Amino acid sequence: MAEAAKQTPHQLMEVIAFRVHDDEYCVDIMSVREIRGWTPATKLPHAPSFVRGVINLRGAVLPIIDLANRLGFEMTEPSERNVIIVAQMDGQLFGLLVDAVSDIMSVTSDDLQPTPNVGSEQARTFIKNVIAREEQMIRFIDLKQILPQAMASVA
Amino acid sequence: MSDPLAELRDTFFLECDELLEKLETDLLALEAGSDDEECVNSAFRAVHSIKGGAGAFGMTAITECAHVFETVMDHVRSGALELNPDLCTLFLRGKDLLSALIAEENGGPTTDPGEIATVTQALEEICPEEDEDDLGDIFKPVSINADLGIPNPEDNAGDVDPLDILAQFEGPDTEDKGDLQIAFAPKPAFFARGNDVAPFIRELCTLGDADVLLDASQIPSFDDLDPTAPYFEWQINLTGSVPQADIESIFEFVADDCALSIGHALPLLSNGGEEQDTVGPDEILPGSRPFIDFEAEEEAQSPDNQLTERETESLAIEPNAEALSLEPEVNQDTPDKVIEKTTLIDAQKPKDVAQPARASAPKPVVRVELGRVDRLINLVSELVISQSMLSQAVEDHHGGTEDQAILSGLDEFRQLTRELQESVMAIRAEPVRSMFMRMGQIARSTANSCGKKVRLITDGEHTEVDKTVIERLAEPLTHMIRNAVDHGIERIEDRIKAGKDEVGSVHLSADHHSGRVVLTVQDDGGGVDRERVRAKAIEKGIIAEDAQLSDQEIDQLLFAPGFSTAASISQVSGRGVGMDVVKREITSLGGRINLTSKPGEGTTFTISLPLTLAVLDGMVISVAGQTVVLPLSVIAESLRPEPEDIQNIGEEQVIFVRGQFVPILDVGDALGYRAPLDTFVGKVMLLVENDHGTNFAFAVDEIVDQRQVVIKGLQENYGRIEGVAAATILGDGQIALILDVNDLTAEQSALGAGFGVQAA
Amino acid sequence: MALKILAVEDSLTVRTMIEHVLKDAGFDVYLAEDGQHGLRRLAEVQPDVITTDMNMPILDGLGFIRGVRSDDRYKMTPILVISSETAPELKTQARSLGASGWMAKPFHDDRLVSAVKRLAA
Repeated sequence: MAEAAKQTPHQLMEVIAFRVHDDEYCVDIMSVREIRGWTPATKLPHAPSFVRGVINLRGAVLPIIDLANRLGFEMTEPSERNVIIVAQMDGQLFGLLVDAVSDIMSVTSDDLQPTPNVGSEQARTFIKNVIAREEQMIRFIDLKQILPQAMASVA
Repeated sequence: MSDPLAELRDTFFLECDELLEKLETDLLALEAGSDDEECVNSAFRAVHSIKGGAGAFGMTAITECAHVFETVMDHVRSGALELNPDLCTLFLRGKDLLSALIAEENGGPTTDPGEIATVTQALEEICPEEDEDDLGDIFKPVSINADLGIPNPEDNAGDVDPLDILAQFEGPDTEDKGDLQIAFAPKPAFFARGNDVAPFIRELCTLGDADVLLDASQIPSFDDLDPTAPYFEWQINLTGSVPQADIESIFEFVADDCALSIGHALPLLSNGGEEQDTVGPDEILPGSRPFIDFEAEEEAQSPDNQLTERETESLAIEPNAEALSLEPEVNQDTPDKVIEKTTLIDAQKPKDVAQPARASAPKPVVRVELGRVDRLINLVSELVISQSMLSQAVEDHHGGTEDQAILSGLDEFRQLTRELQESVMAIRAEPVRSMFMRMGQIARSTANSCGKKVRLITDGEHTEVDKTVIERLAEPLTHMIRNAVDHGIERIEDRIKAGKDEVGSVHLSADHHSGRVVLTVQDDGGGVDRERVRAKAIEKGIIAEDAQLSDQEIDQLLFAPGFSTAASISQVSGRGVGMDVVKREITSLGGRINLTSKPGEGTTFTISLPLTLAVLDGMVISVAGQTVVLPLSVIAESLRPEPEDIQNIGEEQVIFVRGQFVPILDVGDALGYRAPLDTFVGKVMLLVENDHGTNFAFAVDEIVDQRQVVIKGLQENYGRIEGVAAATILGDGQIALILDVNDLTAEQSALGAGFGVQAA
Repeated sequence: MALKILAVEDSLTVRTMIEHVLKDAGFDVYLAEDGQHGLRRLAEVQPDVITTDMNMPILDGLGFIRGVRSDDRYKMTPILVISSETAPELKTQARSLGASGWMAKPFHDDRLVSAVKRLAA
């Protein structure tokens, strides 16, 4: 998406911004199916810690990824204030457990800057680009990388 | 709506599936010695329809193959050719070839050109293609039987239907070929418009040497005579090279008022009389309407006067032919049903043409896109869940009883939901017949490439199973059939040596058995060579050299990962796929596979499968704070052991039950939900049997419920999880995992671990 | 009023195709899957033109034509045979039973439409 946008700088893209561990992140709104409140997930055996389990999304089995934990932070202690962003990637449906959704913004490809060559390797894997907004940095998440290998190999 | 032509193609492929199935059914019946004429007819029609459809799409490879096939079948149909076993085999091979060509056209692999050449040639050798253009010059004895529809070959040559005014279009070859015979019969309108016969005859005489004959045989007795009615017919023999067009131009202005035919010399009257015979004495011919041969017109218009391949193609619909792309406004008038294959209704289509069912009237059938059924099933599944959620909610709030109306209402709701669910599931069920048919093909082609003679006998092909089960079963079954032919059945010389019929047999059967589908693949081959299997297993490191194994355990080695019995990498069933893959597939369908073998007598594989993949009878249990489901089918009993029942063997604990020491599996630990328990005292034990026939005691915290659960796939959004078969949604809306017993016990029961306790 | 066509054809593909082409040309198209079905639909449809296949189960094209012509009401209804049969004798037989026209399969859309129009005229 970012690649395509570079060629046509004025093309707008909408993103959903959200907060994880006091930092701002965002994903392309086109991959977001819905946003819903936290419900306790059923644990999956032998799953990595950032896979919180599965929940019932109107009859579909939806795996939940603890984004904070996936990004290398502590596991989230989910409460009713937490939010699940239901996203779709290559036909696969999954939920991202985040702290709160903060905004829906329009961005142009010019707003997208390459991820600074700092920070952990993990951060650079998951964060495609960064967006500067009112002296704040919003990290653009690469949803493809977020999926654990077991899940990614399904598609 | 997408490309209408593409949808039409889909319709064609769908129809081909049915036709091929019908064809195979008929051919197999014929092979089995049926002398039912309808079998031959029906098989012929199937090939004919495939040819017709393929022609419409310009699929020349299919058309050509179907054509030679059809030609030979037509000879059988007409009785000119006797059906024998070799011919049946060739027909079946032809059917397989057709099926391959159709698959290729539908995006499948390229058909082996060698097979096309071999089969086509073999068919052509039986009935050399007659040059149809020459048919007219060959005199054939006339034999007419109108009732049986046996064609009269002589008719072609004459083209002297007195009613046929446009017979000149019959073929260009009637031109310039010497003697012409003209039959001319005025109609009442001819005279009513003030015409006279004489000028026309005179005109004809100027063209060449004319021999004019009046046929007055139609004149009735004087009493019946209608003075205004024409009773005369003229027959004019014209010698010399007269262009047909010249004759036509003479009659041009009276073309509608007379019957005219121009052709090569043949007696008009006898021929006409015979045609009358074919119509039957009581029939009245539609005299006022000329017969128009659009086909011949087309040929006549074609510049080179023959239907070349190029021409055939141009007659077929070009992929982008505008004629087929619907005009938008027309499109609205003709809603989806016109071309959307999903709603085509096959009201009287005789779908079921299997031998015993043929007599009974075909049931009306609706063709429905599978996606719609699946949506319906999903909705019903949701309904089942909400129904149980509602029941639970009422129970929670009302603390049990109270309002009798609510309770009986809920009960009725539950009942209806269950019935609805069963009815919907039944939509997905289909007979295994078409899959069995494909297996016949597999068996034949495998036998062919192995140089063996094998007969596949099928049984219970009407057994109905969920469509998805059938689809997913096709591949493992294919492999099993290949195995049976390739490894099970001995080579011809070995069979003869063993005093067996040189034709081996593979028996494939399906049946319903206590809520499950049982399939067997039974061959009459040499049975499992246990010595070799054992040696191989040792060589591959699957078992220890000194392992003591029963015959049954040795047989089970065939399912061990990485095991292959083929002495050489046979091109047929090699390819690195072993019975372990088959077993995994069957297991993933919630099925079990077993084999029994008798040396010298053969091997039998038995597969037992659930009727549907959508629901499962399960035991809801709680372990380490999580709720999970175990399939009821694997649970033998539940028990609460006394401390003295539990014994230690090394680090492992076993429980003494039913006179056996059974290993204990700590489910909470196996799923990684908690650290291993030190003691199982106070826990509930479920006695479970896995596919190897090995018993385990599953230690859980509590049994919650026993109920039917709707199976939800985990795979599509997550992937496979070890120890988990699927998921389901419970009454409280929470997801519960359905455990995979074989997976959980795999480590402990692996052969060679020396741990499993043989089941009685 | 659009002309009513009764198309008798056992192959689903060809039947759909005929329906398609003729509907596009503005005809009212009624379908039957074999000769017997076709005969049953006659009274209900009262077709202006009939098209029929030759090779069909239950009742073939010849039988169908014979059946149509045996009913006084349909003596004059044009019947167009659409067949991939090449045997000339079959063509002759169809004609003698009362078929009004013959068209070879695979047919060209335009030719089918013009043939039907010509027969209906």
